[in-house]
Formats: sequence, C-alpha cells, structure tokens
Amino acid sequence: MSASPSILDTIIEQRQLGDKDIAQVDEQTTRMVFFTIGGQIFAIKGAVIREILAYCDIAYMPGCPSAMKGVINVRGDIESVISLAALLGLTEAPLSRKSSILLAEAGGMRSGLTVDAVIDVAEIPESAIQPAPCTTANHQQGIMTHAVTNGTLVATMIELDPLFQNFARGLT
Amino acid sequence: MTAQPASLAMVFFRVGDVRFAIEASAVTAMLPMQPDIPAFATVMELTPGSAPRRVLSLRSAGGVQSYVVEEPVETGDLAVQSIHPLPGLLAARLRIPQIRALAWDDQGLTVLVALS
Repeated sequence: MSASPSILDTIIEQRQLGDKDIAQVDEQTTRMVFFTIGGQIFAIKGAVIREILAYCDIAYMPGCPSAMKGVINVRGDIESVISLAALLGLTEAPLSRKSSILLAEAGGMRSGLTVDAVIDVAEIPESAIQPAPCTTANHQQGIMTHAVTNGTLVATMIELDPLFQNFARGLT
Repeated sequence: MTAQPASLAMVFFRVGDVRFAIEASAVTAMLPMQPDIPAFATVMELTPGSAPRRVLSLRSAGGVQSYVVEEPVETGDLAVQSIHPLPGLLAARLRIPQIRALAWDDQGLTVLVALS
C-alpha cells in the first residue's frame, strides 16, 4: 500500500529544503588584518598581506624619502620598509614589543609597512565593510574609502594599490 | 652566452654607518687623503663619519673621478647570490642614481654603487 505523504511530511521536507537554501546563501567573508597607528584602528585585506613580522632592525638606505625607513632581510630577500604612519600623516607610537611590520604586496609592488600593533586577524562578512564618509584627502585618493566593523571595533580600511602607486609617483 | 660568475671582485668602503661596494674593475687607485677632493658622503646625501679617510679614484663614463671615502677600505669577493635588485618602491623614489643594487651578507647591508 502506498501512502501519500502527510501534510507534516511535506512541511518537514519543505523546511529541510528551506534550511539548505539558507545555508547556500551564507554571506561571503573577507580576511582582514586589524592594527593600530597613533591610537587609530585600521584594517587591510589579508589577501595583500604576505606576512606579519615582528619589528626588527631596519638598515638605513641613503637617498630615500623620510617615509622610507630602509630595508630588511626576510629570509634572504631584501624588502623595503615604509612608515605607514608617515604615509597617512599620523604619528606612530614609540617602538614596543607590539610594533610590527606587515609585508604587503599590491599593484605589483611589495614592501614592509610599520604599524604600532597588530590587534586581530579575522574573517569579516562583506556587510561589515561599508563606505566611509568622504572627508579626507586619503578618501579622495581612493586610499581610505571604507570602514570595517569587527565586533565592537570600527576600523578604517586602507587600500594598498593606490597607496603604493601614489608613493611610487611621489604623490605622498 | 657567458656563464655568470659565482662572485664579483669588489672594493668595500664606508660612509658613516653605511657600507658601500663598487666593482674592483672600476677602481683605478686608492690614495691618501688629499685636499679639495669631493666627499662620497655628499653624493650619497650622508653626514660623514669620524673614521680615517682615503681617496678612491673611480672610472666612470666621463673619465676618472676621485672621492673621499672612509676606512676600512677593503677588497673582497661578493657572492652573486647575495646581490639583489633594488626593491620596486625604493627604486621608484630613490634620489641617487649611482645606487644600483643591494647585498646582504654576514656583515649586514651593503649598498652597491656604480658611476656610469
């Protein structure tokens, strides 16, 4: 004897399908590196951060702009190191054991960036990345166009492509 | 195609805290300190150190140019594998065209220079 499905069975099946639909539209996330400079919180997409390095001795290079702190040796490769604070017009905190160098690659260029402290690396839902008010020159240059919320933290997101391009052209 | 050598003969010298090297084939003479010779520190936008000084005569496209450098002035071989091109962002903003490459060995950073 073949029994037709009961109303309850149909409802259960529909709910199961519904749950699957919800699971399939899970929000996309972006890995972000959160850090501080001069008491302000910033974030950079993890995709452009190759490595987070403990602060180390930076060898001075003559003939460079003041924002270029020098070079470091990263396992046999020589990398430039730039003060992110100087590029953003901020004052960095005194060196501490939290001071770090973000080894970043964007727009075909690679460099270390000094920051006061790395405070988190987290997967952030796309909805937590929102346009920031257009109030600064950095915004106009496409460098700081979004804000990122991570729990109670609100960070200004830094786009490295225009930052590196502007630095290479002598605009910062 | 010529095989790349494993090392380059270089002359090493200092200006302040920075160690420099130039290909030995570009050095025509090392002389005692003389007056009216320009300081290599000026070319490199550096403040001269307090070490004893020497004069290096260097071959360039425009002839021989002499500069005051600081001791120790030494000859030695630099492993080709330790020589690196300038990092891209640094090269883009570098004001001193005589700086051509960098090397890192057990003595730390060496700035490789060439006059032509």
